[in-house]
Amino acid sequence: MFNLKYKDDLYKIILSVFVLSVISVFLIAVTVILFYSYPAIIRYGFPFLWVKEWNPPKEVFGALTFLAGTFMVTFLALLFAIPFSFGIGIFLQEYCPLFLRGIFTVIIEMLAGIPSVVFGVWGVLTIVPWLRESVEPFFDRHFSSIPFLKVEENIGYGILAASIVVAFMILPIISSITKDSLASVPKIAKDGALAMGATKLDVIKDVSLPYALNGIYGGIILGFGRAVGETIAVVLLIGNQAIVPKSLFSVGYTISAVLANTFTFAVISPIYASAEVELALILLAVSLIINIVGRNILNKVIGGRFNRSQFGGG
Amino acid sequence: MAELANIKKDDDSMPIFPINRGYIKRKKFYNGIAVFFAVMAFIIGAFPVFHIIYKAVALGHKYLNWRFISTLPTGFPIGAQGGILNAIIGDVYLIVIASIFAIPLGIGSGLYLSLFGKKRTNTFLRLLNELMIGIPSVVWGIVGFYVFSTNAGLGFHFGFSALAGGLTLGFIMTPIIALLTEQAVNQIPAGYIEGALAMGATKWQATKSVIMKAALGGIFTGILLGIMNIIGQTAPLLFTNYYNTGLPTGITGPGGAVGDLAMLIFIYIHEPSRILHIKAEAASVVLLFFIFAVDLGLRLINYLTRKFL
Repeated sequence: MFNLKYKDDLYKIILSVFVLSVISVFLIAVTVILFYSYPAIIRYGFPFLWVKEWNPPKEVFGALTFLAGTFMVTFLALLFAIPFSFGIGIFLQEYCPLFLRGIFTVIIEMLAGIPSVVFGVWGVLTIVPWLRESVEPFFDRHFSSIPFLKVEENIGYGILAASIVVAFMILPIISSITKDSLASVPKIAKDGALAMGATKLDVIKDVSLPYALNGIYGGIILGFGRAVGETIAVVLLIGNQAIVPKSLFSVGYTISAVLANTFTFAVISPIYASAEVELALILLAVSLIINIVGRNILNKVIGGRFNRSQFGGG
Repeated sequence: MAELANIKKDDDSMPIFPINRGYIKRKKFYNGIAVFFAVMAFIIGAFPVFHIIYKAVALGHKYLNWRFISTLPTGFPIGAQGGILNAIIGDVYLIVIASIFAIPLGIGSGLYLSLFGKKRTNTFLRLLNELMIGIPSVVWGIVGFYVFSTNAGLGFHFGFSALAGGLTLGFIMTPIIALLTEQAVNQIPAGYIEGALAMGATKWQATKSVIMKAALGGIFTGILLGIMNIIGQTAPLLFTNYYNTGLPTGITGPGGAVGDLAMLIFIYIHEPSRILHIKAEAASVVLLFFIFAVDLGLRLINYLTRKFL
């Protein structure tokens, strides 16, 4: 193997070192998170997931409030983002005139390039005042009897503000994957339907969407992964109070936000830090599972080619 | 459709299927509604891009001058006077450190995948890179803290410093470069590489004289995408570098922390001070300008590669 007649052996060894370094970066990440969360896992066990109290001085830690906040923000963001991403993907791939498609795609990709913190600032200075001055008073007047739409504090910050901004952040991922999946539909199938007198809507509904549906599911799953881990914009917008949100307009806390806000204080006490790292472990596990499933689907549909909207700033 | 509809139904010269004009009209109407919704979805989706830029420029335009970029923040609260020089210098530190770590690793492992990899190792390594891209940045921050910054237990004990922050950002950057390098090399027509190998070139010589030339555009795309990604990262820096209002005196230990644009915006928007909010918007304009400049460079490289190769 070390026969230097083939100089490639040396080259291969050097490259292998690089590959092993990349693998070790991944292993280091997983090991660090597992190692430092171990004390909390041992001490609190499974009830960590459904205990509501998070009280560092008493060393009582339960993640329920943060899990609920994360779930609500993610769910609402997907609810807002999916219909629009669908529309954008269909528009760009099927309806848009060809000479405009390039520039319109660039605009959506620009949305993916905007950093999370800039989205957060935009949310604080635009979305929050809008919610506070127009949306919340309106809902307060007309829908205050519906529990899920009750406005508790008219401050603008809260679950809704965070999920609107996160929805815009995951929009480019889902819509670009929708577009790529629609682009992978064989042209002959679409042309056949068009020749039979179908309108473009019929073609999309009966030919393209059934074919592209798996890819779109993959996109939604990846969007879910991004929304779960979204940190900075959420910290700025969600209100940061450890309560289980009961309404669309109430404030809350997500896993990523509590990590961003308190991890640097937490490292003073080992068990507190360990509980926080266990929160990170939840994020890590969710993101790994989501990505394994999502990528597997996407590799089958659009051949695993990378779309640049998938690397946004975090 | 119009020609078919014009043929009379009782014309017996050819068999013709009955045409329901109302049905066709309805179909076209539904199609029109679908077009309307698709266009609306696009307009609403594109709206924030323009509104973010508009809002940032409208609020921050007063500070968009050379002095803002070339002076350190002063005054009380810190930043009320002066500019953002600390953040720009700090970003240079972080990008250079992250690149020194990530570019060799990313390109090396990408080349390994396409030159020596077996099918199974390739699938495995690609999945690994994709998983690394999917890990939330706040988790990378915690990993970076325990590996580089912490001053207790195992780790490198760099403190909150440019080196710790830069290497953590390097972790984020590596898989992006690796994936795009592999993709770029795989796009080279197989004949180029096989031709070089058939002439007796070693794989290293093939890399040097064929692959590096043909895949250069793709590799640069990866590097620029990586830089674009880490420029906007805030969460990992919270635990590894935090922020410095002055210039760093080193890259590790006390005095090793650097400023950072994203971090500066994050800190300024937290302050209950109108002037700092406006400065945060002005800094956002600078950050967006950097990002879109990198983006433009990226598109230019893509365009040139497609044109000349």
